[in-house]
Amino acid sequence: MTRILRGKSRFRKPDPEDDLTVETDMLEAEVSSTSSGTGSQFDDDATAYGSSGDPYADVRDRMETLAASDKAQFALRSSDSEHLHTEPQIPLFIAYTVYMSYAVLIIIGHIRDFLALVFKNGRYIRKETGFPSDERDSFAPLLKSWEHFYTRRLYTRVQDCFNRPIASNPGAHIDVVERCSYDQQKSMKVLGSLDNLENDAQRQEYRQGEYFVESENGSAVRRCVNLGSYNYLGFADDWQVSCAKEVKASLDNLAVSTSSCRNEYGTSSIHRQVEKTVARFLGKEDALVLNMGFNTNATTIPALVGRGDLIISDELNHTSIVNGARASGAAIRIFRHNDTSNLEVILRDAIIKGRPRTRRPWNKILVVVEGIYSMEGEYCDLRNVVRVCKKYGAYVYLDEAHSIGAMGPTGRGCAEYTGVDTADIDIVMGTFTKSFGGMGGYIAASKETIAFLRQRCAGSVYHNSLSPVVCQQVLTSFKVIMGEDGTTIGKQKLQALRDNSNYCRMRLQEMGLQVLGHYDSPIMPVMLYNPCKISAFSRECLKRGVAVVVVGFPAVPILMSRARFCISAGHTREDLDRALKEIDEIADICNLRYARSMFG
Amino acid sequence: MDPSRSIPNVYNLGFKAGSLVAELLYMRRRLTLSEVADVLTSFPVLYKEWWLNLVANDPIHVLVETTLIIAIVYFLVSRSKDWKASDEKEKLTAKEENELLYDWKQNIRAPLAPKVQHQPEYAVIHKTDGRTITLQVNVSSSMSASSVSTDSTPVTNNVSTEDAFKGGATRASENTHPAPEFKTVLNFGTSDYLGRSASNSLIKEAALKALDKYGCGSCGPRGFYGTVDVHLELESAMAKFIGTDDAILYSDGASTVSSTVAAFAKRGDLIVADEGIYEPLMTGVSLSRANVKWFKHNDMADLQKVLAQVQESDIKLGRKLNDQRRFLVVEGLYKNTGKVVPLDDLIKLKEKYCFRLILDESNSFGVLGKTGRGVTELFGKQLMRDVEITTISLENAVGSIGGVTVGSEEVVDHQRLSGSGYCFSASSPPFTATAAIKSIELLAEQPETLKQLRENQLYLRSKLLNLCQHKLEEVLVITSDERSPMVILQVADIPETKNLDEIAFLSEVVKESLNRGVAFVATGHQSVGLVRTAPPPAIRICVSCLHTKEDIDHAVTALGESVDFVLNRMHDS
Repeated sequence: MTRILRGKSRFRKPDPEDDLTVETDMLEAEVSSTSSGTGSQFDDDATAYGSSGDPYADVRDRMETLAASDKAQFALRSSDSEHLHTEPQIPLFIAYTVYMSYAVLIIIGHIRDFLALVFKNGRYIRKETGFPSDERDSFAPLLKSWEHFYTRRLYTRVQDCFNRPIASNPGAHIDVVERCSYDQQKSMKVLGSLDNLENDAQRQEYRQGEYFVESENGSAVRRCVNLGSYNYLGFADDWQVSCAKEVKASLDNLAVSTSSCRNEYGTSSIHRQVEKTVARFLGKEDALVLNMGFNTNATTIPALVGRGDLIISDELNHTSIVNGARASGAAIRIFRHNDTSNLEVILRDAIIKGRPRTRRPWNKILVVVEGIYSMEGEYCDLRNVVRVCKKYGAYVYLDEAHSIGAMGPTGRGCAEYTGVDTADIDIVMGTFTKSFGGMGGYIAASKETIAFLRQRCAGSVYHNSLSPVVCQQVLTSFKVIMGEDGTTIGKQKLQALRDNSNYCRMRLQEMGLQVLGHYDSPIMPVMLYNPCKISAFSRECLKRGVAVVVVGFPAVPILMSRARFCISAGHTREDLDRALKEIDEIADICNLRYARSMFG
Repeated sequence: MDPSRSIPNVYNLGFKAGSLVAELLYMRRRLTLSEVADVLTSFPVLYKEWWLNLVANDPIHVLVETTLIIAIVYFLVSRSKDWKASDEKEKLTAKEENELLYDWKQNIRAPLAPKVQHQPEYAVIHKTDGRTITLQVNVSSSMSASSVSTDSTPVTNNVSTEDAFKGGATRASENTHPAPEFKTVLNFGTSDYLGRSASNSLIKEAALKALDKYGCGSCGPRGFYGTVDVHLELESAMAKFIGTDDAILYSDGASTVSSTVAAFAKRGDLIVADEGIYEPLMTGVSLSRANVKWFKHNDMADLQKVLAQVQESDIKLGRKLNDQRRFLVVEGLYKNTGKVVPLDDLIKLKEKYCFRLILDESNSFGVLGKTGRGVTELFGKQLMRDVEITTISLENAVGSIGGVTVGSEEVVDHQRLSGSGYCFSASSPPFTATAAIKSIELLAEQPETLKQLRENQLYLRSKLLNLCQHKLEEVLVITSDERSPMVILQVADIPETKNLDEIAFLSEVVKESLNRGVAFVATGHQSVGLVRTAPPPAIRICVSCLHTKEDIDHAVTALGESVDFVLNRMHDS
């Protein structure tokens, strides 16, 4: 299959003849970006782009003003006078309709269940298997009734909006595999080739679809602009030019998997190089690389804290942090999202009162925050978190899963963006899945902490280590981001990501959509509220060749269903303009302009 | 309104209200506005009349009630005053609070991580072909973090051109380190039993093909465009191979296991688990927050006892069998001890006491059973029917990354919303999926690898038995099952070894073996007291189908020499 490398003109590897000019370009860019200090760095970055190549020249001023005001308001605040969270107040009308929608769904679901029970016929009546565990007299049902009900009667109605398979690399354009359901939405099957369809009329419908293509093995796919993947720096787009050679070479000496854990024979020289690079990149003493981002949180937190310790966690922290905190056995308190005055109250109270009942003082207190909250698109109020934690002596654990590589002038994440010295953050965690196009996660901290974690963290002691191939991918992408490959590709990527995100956010706001999050963050959720709008929005987008992520309960509160766009450096302005045009139309169809009126 | 005059005044109010309601309900008369106004205006008068009449007719009643009301009010008010006073007394002054805060920060707060006594040296692998691994020998320089900290400058906001050059300089200075020396040793340390490593060109080819098509990472969780078609292919290939309705792919072996357990067992459920389960299962059990009962490792008699206790308490509490979901949690081949679960007896017990079985086949899949379908095949059991939920890590014999859970449609579909490692983590890179698909295909296509593994396993075992009995004066004993390709050697419980520091002794032996060109693993030293079921102090020897008889001979000899050497050294000192 021929993959079209979008953004090729911007990211292409320079020809050997061009090398000289690129070198000087880079030097100029570097100098210009640093000559004027940190505060106004962004303004200068624009010039690094070169006036001729800037696709956003016409809107640049507006974008920069908006971004600068957001930054001044949220990232560089010195006091925590007001609550920052931009989660909107839900107008009464919306709340009413949302509750009504769920009520109708639940009532209809129960009616269906009842009728299925009466007539002994329905798609969720289990077929007789004769397995002993199916006997209802002696075995409690395997699935909890409410959860199961939710899945059966609510989730499956919209399940075509989730788990959509793709048949390409997750770049700026993806091939979304067409699926259909042969059992009334109970399960989705890949359609495969068009011959599987029942009649010619259906085939015709697919063929005439604007974005329909047939993939190399003849199965039906839809070529979409990808606004869903975490491919922030676009390494999936130009993988063949930027990473392929080195990554594939790693298989010469090493295997897909080490089949061993880090402490036994699962550490290759590439693992060590990645760790050193991460530590150098973040300005920490050492780092530990583990196989899975989720497990990095879930195994490190229990190793660091335990009984007698306290975890103070942001209410919107990711499940992996919640899992890790629960597994640790430490006490857990929650503070209001991004509200550092609330954090201070809780922290103060905890230290003064000590442990409940025994009243002994806590051994240590760990404050866990994320760099960018993945469902809100907001970055952390890190300055104030660090200030409060320093004041009271709590340790800071920063999860940069979404922000590493995606924020800050040189991609060093939320800490760089908010101007916090990484020395003040005790533990920096991040993943390689997103910006680096790999897998796995890292922990960067002081030498002693990492040495301790190497011995105590289950991810290091028991679990299989990260694939050496992925390690090489991470290493190569680090080189590109840090400019150590001798090109300015990394710098351009960072610039393009920031521009694309800000442009997209600005346009979405101008449309009157209710966009959450801050400028300079590549994640932008748009509120949908009503459960029926989840599917309507997603299906309309797919029909028009835009792949978007929609999120409903239980990932977000029941009233707060939303669509989420993740912008990539791989997008060109044409991609975004096309997607935005479609979204604009759909906003009319679905009544989504909530920022203008509560009726959308 | 007239009839109300004829009855005693005390009941006037109630009568009036009652008659109004009766009229509205039974006569279906419409209320006019004037009537409503009339009711409202007459109410205070009526109420006053009622009250005065009550005082006049029944003064004692009024007196008692009034006293009671006053008493209640008094108690309420006085108690709250008391509480307030005690609160005031308890309340700390700002100064005291600040002292506490300062004291905690300065004196009480524990360091983030306790100091590590000795940093163990980890092998750094340069190259592997399954049979052998090439280690970087000057490990100390590459492992110690000192070189990192001296070379790096804490990077904050601005990256100057200087920094960019420093990056280059760092690399240069690393290159000026004495060129790394390499040492090739026989690999008896990784769980790559079937040789799915760099030397297997078919696996490598599959991985490279996927890399070319999909790039490296999948850049998203399964729900949000992280599902690549090869993930679905792997799921159906696995389900087909092992014979279940469906399979679900996770991106990490350990989180497969822990997420699966936690997805099904919830608060209020009962888990009966083996004491010897390894860490991921253990984490799953503790994340589930279910009630847990333990039985002695691989001891069916003890399991029977525990289950009987459960039954007894059922009878005592009058609890029905289907009131509580119940799970047995075991491993097929125990990673920590190398024992094989007696599945026959276990399933009999499970059926008798109505438990569902969560079986982890991570270490047994691809290894046990005639065609490598795991411990269920070994015992001729049927998945889904006899074993409800099976988890399989793809990181051992399959030689890839990730894990799958197999089972009925119900079991698999439920996890697509409830498996936290599935929902909330990025999906596995497509190339690991294609490598796993190829690996599973090879299980069927190349039965000779499994045969070779069995031969090697038996040969190694006989050699080791010979060694343990004749040369080592029975210091070490084999405690693993003979069907396991992973041999666990533990220090024998004999008088000579009474004063031996097992952990130190075994890790010395392994280090010494490495010097003699064979890589084993010493367990037990990594994790003292970390989890309930830390692996016991032992030497783990993993045989692979790639090993030759000479390799095994060499390994056993090296082990014998190392044990002798270390024992002698310990005697001397």
